[in-house]
Amino acid sequence: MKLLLSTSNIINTSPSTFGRPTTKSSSELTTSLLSNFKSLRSSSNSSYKEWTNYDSQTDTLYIPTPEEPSPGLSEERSQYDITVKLFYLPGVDPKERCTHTKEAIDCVLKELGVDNIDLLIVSFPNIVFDAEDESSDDSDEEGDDQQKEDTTSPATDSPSSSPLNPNNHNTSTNTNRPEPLTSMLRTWSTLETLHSTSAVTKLGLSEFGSSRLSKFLNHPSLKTRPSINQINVRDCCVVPKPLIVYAKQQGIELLTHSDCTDILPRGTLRELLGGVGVLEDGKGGGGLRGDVVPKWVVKYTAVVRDRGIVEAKGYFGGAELVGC
Amino acid sequence: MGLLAIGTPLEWPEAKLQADHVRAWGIEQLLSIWRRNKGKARDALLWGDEIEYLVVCYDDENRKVRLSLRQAEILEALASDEKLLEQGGGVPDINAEELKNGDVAPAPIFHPEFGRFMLEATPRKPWGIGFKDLLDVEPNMKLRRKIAKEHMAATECPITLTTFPRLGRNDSTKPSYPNSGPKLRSQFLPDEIANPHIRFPTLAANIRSRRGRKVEVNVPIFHDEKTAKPWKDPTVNYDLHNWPEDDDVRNGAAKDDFIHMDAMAFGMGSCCLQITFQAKNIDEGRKMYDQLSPLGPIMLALTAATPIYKGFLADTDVRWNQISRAVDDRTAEELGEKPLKNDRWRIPKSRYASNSTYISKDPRLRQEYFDPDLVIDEEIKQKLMDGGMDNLLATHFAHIFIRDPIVVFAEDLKELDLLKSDHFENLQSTNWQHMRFKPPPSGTDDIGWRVEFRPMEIQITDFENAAFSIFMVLITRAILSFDLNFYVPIPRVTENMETAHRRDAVLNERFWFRKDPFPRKATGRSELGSRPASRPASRPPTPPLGPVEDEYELMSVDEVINGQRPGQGSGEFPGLIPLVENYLNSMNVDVETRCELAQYLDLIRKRADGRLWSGAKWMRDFVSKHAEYEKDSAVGDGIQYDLVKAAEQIARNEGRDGLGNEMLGRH
Repeated sequence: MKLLLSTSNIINTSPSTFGRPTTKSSSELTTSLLSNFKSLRSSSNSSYKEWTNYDSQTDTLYIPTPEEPSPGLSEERSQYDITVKLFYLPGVDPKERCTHTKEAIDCVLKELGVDNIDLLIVSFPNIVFDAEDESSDDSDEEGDDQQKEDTTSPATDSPSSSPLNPNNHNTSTNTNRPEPLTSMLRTWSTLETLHSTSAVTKLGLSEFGSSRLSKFLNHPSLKTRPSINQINVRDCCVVPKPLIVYAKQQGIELLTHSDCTDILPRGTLRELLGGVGVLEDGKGGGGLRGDVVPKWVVKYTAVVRDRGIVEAKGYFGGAELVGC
Repeated sequence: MGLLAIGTPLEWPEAKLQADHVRAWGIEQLLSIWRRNKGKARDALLWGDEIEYLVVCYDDENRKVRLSLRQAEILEALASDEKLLEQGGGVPDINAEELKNGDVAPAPIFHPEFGRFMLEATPRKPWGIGFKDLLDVEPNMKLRRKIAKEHMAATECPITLTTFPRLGRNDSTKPSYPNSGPKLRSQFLPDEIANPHIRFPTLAANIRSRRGRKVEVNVPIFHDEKTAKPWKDPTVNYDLHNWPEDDDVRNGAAKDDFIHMDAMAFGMGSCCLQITFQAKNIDEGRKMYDQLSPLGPIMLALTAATPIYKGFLADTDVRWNQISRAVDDRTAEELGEKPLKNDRWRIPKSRYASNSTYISKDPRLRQEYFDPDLVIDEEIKQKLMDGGMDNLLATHFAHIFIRDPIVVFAEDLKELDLLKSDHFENLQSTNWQHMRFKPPPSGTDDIGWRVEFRPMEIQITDFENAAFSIFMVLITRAILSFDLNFYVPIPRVTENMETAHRRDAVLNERFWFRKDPFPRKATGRSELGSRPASRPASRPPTPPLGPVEDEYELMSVDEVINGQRPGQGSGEFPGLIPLVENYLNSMNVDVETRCELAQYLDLIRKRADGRLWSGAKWMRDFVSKHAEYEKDSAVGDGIQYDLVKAAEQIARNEGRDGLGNEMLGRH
């Protein structure tokens, strides 16, 4: 059975999920899922069936039942910048991503009542941007002087030289290392299709250091270049110069974010669904049995561009219930 | 401040005789503006900042600094700068002719201000919310300062101190003029201190006449080790007999332990940092007005930069009350000193004071937040409501219209032009509350409903001025995105405004502030259309509202800005900076911008938690460590000279050379 989780619009309905200094996306996601679920339960021992909806045709349980009609946006589509960030989760076979991407994007399009999005950023599992790794990584290839203004373009580097980029090592599941570039590019071709059908205007990556970025950009199978590279920086003033220079050269905008990579760990989801009675919690609450495997998470924001106002923000998550 | 048309201003009490006339026409114009514009919507956020400068003139040989009264000449020089004009800048009130294409790199615009030693500069075009725009603010402020300086004499310099430390002492201006002129009748200042445009001296003179005596600006003295107790202002002359108002001091206008000042220029000669936001529509404007209102006192305390008056260290840190008193035109009856006979009301506040009411249509605006003693003109309110205006907005304007117009031009009373706003603006622009709700101006279609945030003090550097301006912009975006709720009863805001004055209030005082700013998860999603079979019949009901007193508590500026930690009060308030950070996390912000914004937010964070000093604290420290300071609260010419020089140096180097780094923290 598939599980489709939704936070609903959290921009102004879930006080507990934002505003705290340490808020990171993972806790934002889980707290707002929880708060959304709780707000829909009439009592703490009511059956999950009251507020979720099972679609037998697709064997999907919607948690909670989607709003009908979907909330949509209050102004014309052209007023908005809609950004979607898709997190492919660790331990999931990259072959499934084509389906996951479609599911995730469909959720957002339906929720916002639009037929395209402006920017789709993808997050591959296990890539962590680290400013210091980045600069030492780059220093091998670009000369040791990180202060040098005119850092040479790493575009000519051979793809196999980076220790952080085990291209020839096929690791699709269950490792803390990033997958090979070829795997990412296979996923990317799915996104290129979305781009070519105008469902997505711009594509973006996240957490790519300059070395990985240059390999990505120079790969022969790349058709649609990313416009954005989104990086998580605790203190953005330490963004390594080589990356800034390289991104500028390549016309790629570097954006900041504060999400974490492992956005929906299995145990967290299990606990969360158990807590609201969707999963059997061992106390005989009548929940579903089985193992829950999170597959993907998508975060969306709709910003009224010229007024800088976030009108909609939320998450969907896709998971599989196995062994039930 | 724009200049109104020249004409023949009526003296008091002739102007008073026309007050009802002006008010009646003002209300007609307001209704007309309101009818034309109530549905007006603008798609974009536009905002603007105003930087005000003191123009000083150094006399290096004698280690003296004076105020330069050459405002007119400097503006003339700016107005005749061809290059500036080509870039769309200049001085609009002097260069009335069409400015050329506004699309080239926009040059700033300069305006006259009340003080003849002041200059105001604004960007040519308003800012947007594009993050790139935000990065242009600080360089543009620096450009304004540079251009201003280039059009001054070699010995002159624009300085962003709120007040000139020794304003009102002998030999403080260049050129020098005798005190005790017919308009101000000040024993400390010449009439020439004010902008010579007839509007300004008339404003000052009619406020004095209406009041029946000179304005009374008393600031508590800071008692240092060797300051006398009680302290008597040694500069007060009790033997002057030029004007009837010279009796004021003999009647007790000057008080023990207070620095005494007696003219509008002591207040209106202060420099402020004001930000104006254009709202999407009238409703959003009303919401911003209400939600920013409780932030006023916090931002006043946080930007504190006014520790010196008339050559003495004061026991307060900000300018606000001094301006308030400097334009206080209330009569003895209105002040409650005499029984009401000729006047209509007792009025608790000056025309320049904190906000007195809320105006938003927000359902969260509870009746308990209003001031039960708000003075309004019931007839005017009725007229506005008859004209279709709603109760809240009618109340707001009926409060503003309890005042008399001060400057009335005879020519304007002949014909009522409903397409103009002069009579409305006459009252509106002489009600200086800490927020101003501004209808779209007549005669242009480009501008929507606006809200002006007025309490902040000007900062020495443009880095700080940009930081506070941009912080306020980001706060408005967070308010609107998250639908935040900062309501507290308006009398608590008034109380906070007083609290903000105390020395080091930013660190030591506590302010009434709302604990939980988040919207209640009221109805959540609409029940309409949701699948009945799969949804509980009713969602958990919204809990009933508790007592208003439980909604707010006393917080330090640090708690308001950086958030409450467990154990601090209710521990609930998340902090304005974290709210802004959270807003930024929901936006696509590029690395460079985020880095720049991080520096601004860091400044504000550290000002609030005390790691960095306020301007007021730094100036006190500067004075106390000065070799010429004798621990007697007196700030002499030599200290002033070095202080002003230091302010200029800090504006240039921003603490990088060490000077002033306690305020700036830039290594």
